[in-house]
Amino acid sequence: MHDMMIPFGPAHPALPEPVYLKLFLDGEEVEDVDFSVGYNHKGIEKALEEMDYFKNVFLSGRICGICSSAHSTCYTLGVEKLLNIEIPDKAKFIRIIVSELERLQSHLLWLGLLGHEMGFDTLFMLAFREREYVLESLELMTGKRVVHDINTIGGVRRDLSHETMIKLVKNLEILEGKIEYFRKLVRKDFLIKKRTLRIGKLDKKDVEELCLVGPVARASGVLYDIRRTDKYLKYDDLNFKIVTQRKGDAFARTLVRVREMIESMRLVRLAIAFIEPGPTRVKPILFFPEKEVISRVEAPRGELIYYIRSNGTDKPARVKIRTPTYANLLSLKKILVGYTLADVPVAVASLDPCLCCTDRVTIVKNGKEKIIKWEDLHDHEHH
Amino acid sequence: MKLIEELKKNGKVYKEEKNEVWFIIPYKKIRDAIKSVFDSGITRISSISGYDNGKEIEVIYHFVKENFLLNLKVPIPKNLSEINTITDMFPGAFLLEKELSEMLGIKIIGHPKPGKLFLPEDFKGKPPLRK
Repeated sequence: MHDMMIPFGPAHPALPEPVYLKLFLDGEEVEDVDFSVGYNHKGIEKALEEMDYFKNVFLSGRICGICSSAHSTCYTLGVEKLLNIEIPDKAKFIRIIVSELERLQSHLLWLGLLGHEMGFDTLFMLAFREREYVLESLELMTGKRVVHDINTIGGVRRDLSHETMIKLVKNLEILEGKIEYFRKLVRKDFLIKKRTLRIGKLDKKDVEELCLVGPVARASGVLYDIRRTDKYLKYDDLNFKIVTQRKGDAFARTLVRVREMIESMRLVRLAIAFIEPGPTRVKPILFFPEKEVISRVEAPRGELIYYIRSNGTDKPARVKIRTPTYANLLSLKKILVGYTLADVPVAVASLDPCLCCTDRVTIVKNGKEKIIKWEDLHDHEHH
Repeated sequence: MKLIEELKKNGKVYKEEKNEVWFIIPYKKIRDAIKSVFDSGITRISSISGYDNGKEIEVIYHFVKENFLLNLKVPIPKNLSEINTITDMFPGAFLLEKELSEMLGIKIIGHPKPGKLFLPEDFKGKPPLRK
């Protein structure tokens, strides 16, 4: 029997996104945990079936605000596979630069939130201040700070000018010093160590069994990175390290993400060096045969996988998305049970949950047995 | 690969690409096929997709081993609409099966915790992704 059930969320000051955890406690200790998601449903999988392939590039980029280009890259890679087209090298490198900058800003955002979770708000301020350099670079490249919309079927929508490259490199130079500071801070700071060491432990077996992905898997010593396994875009031409740790606690996950930021910056620099003048897109022949494809990318939070099926029309028949946080949710029980209630926010934050991605499938009007069509969703906006 | 040979006994390959194999497995043989995947040492299931093609519901299991993708497609007749769970062998399929069940209206036999994932618990009506 449990002493008490404490609800955590769906709206909780420690987590800006809606997830509902039921924590069953014995005194201070968490004995069992149950979770429910679905507070953030946007009906995107259904909406993707209602629009044509080109419009879907923009919709897929709006599944999530933090990993926007990961989603649209995965979608466009899938459609390019469907159409059997090869995009120009320059477009591949531009996609890499945007993806890596996105990883950088996502990890910085996460570092800030982790600081906030453990009551270290100075770290939050610092991380968000440095994140501005990344957002500024992204704005220079794509015209947008958060949702980048750089991808299109057959390449990228914007060329990278020489002046932009110089500015990017300048911003990276500033950032390198700042991230190095974060790396030292995370290693040495008493508070961070006290709150994250030996919290939320996941061993290698759990990771393999529960199919966990991304930095969470790598912090437990599982070398699983789609950039390395699938070698999509031009990742096999660029020399980078896959960061792993063995301990599998919240501290290891912090170290993995901080060191990944350094690798991301290196990847951006390398990609800039590799860019050669040339076209940025090819014009695809829009004929969609009946086919099904799988496309995978490494989003900031791990493996993102799209299943796209075409039926000969200009709209996809089915798009199934499995996002990284969705896969990592299963580890909640492992990282919370046996620890105290006060460790819950830090342990949950160490997963870097992104519920915008997770809750996306289909929404149905409560009880009315009516599927919301794209037009209805559109109407909803105006009410 | 040994696993491919093993699976060929239960179903047939309908598509083969670089690092990807797509199998179609008859409904009755799925348990054996999943068992042989499990015995081969693959532990990772990345996704389960479902698609309503009008006549039947196609369920596709996407297994991953590093860069190798194994896709098993199982057509389920609409009048049956049920399938055995694979969560006992692949615990990572827990949420994926729940989602499949609520979105396409397939009963998962033997799932450790059946119920809704994204939809409200008291939701009644046609499964949202059925055509």
